[in-house]
Amino acid sequence: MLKKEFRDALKRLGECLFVLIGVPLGYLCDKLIVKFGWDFLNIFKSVFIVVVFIYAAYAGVTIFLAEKKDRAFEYLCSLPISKRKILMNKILSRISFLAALYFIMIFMTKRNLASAEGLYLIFIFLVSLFLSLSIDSVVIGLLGISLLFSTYVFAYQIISFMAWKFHVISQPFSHPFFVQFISALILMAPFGAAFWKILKNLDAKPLKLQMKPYYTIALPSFLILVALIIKFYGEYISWARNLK
Amino acid sequence: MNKFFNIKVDAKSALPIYEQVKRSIKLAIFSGRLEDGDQVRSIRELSLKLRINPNTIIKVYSQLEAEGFLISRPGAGYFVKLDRKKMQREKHGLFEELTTEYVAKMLELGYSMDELIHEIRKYGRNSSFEKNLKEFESAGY
Amino acid sequence: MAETLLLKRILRSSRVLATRDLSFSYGKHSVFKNFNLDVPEGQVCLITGINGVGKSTLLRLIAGVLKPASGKIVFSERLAKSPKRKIGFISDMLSLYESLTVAQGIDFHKDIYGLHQIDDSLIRHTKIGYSQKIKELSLGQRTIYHLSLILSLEPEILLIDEVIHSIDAYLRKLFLDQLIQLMSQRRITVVMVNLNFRDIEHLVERVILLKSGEIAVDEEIHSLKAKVKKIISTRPPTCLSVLSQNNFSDHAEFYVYPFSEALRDDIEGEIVDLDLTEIVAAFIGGEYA
Repeated sequence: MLKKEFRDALKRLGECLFVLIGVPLGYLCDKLIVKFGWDFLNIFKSVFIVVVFIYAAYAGVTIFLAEKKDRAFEYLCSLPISKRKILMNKILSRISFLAALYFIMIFMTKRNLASAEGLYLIFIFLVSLFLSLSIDSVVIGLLGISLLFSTYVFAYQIISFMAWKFHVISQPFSHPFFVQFISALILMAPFGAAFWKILKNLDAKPLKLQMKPYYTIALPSFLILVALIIKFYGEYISWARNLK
Repeated sequence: MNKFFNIKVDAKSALPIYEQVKRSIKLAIFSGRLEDGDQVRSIRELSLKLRINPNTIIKVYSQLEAEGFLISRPGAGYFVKLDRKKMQREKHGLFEELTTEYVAKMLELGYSMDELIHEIRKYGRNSSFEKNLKEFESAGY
Repeated sequence: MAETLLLKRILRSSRVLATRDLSFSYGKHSVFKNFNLDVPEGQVCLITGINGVGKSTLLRLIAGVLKPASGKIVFSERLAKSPKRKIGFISDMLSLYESLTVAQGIDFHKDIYGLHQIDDSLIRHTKIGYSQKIKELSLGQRTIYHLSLILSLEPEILLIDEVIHSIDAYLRKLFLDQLIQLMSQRRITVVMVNLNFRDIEHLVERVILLKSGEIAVDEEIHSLKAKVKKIISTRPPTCLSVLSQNNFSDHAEFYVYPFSEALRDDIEGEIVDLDLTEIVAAFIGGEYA
């Protein structure tokens, strides 16, 4: 199974990396029109980083693309392989390529290996993964992921602020790693739980009929979280304004 | 005589398939097509040939073995066992069954027993009798 | 040697699979409620009934491809640990990763089931190209390909859903020959869903007719043939229930059940033996009346 999953992940990677072809073309156009001293390498690096982030989302959201397109869910369910193993195979193949891209990115930008980008990538990948079963359109999927990522950004700011307020951390704007990690977990947990529940009970019924856990677990938790963020964001903003 | 005989299986017959196959094999033994000590087809081959469930063939062979017509030799297969007295009895039983059927039909048509015996003798000497008999045989009976 | 081993089959068969109070619905539409069925090892079982009665659903539930709302599927001790490993399931959806080529699909299948090789004699026979994508195959080719895959895992239970009659008569004969070979080599339980009985009638040992999510008829085939007869007469028989009838200008054909030899003398009219197609049509005809 792993071989096929690597092949699928590679296809999705190829689709993303295809974007990079635009870079030399764009550079050439630029050279002709405006004789600037724009460094090709800088443009490439910037686009590359964007592509890596897009791949994180794309690889996650398309994790069951082959099964959806080929109507292979019934075949998959008939195989003597546990849902856990199926998921492991799918995640392993995609994360391998994601990790490779991440290291290349680190090498290119000469950043610190344990920078926040790594966590963001994993977060984006996992959230996309958790949403993958409910989404038929990749565009809507990417929009949903953007929404969740934005929520995550708000969430860790608030949690940082709360942590500082309760004297857990010394600086309110530092956003230490563990705060980001906890924020990510809080946001991902309900979606992960919903996703796993659906996957565990997945059968050959039409996919639409199996989406209940998203509505009973993920959505309510997310709405509660958003409500909390809104509640505390007011306090956070007024405090931040007072500082100035 | 031709050693290879055809077994016909009739889906519409009320006679269970295993019974039909049993009869065909018994007939082959009675008529001498299968002789004492001859090996009958393996279960695999016969089920493929007749396109029927191998379990049915197993039933046929084991019943024929129980009735004393076949004997199984482990590793070798099933072989015909000829018990002359028994065969006479079975042959006579089949004769009675088929003849009763036939005579009943003829009596229905209006023949009396004496007329019937007379007509059979006449017909047996008839030239078309041989031809009809050959056609009958090739139809798999 | 094989003969004597096979002989042991006729001794009492143990149950290889059973459904226990199985319940299943598609949304609000209830298909099965507390459905029970036992299948002994080595039996060739036919499940039939009108379209939409739940035959395919039952097969899918047994294959584990659909999860019941309540109740369960029970397997023999030997299979219970990992039943899917020894179940060969093929449905009319012929679900496969169709973007894969034939060769890739075979590799995938071998890898999942831990097989060293696939018997591709049927595949080669039907001139299927190994570099062809599965979605490019014709229906007959795809069916043969799928059948080859499931036969190769040396299944103990075969679940076949109505695909046998979507392939041409020659390929059907090839497949059934393979099946008969398999059946003569070892004990294999076959549960078939079919609406057409040509070519398979003589393989079937047990006939189950489903009606409204329940078993309406469950008989061994020769027992069923003894119990269902057509009576040609001017008046309906009084001592038997009539499943359905064909009316003609001066007489009618009555399909009756359950007939027994003891009633033969009491019945007015000609008693005709039936094949499986006519028998099932008689039962189903009664539903439409």
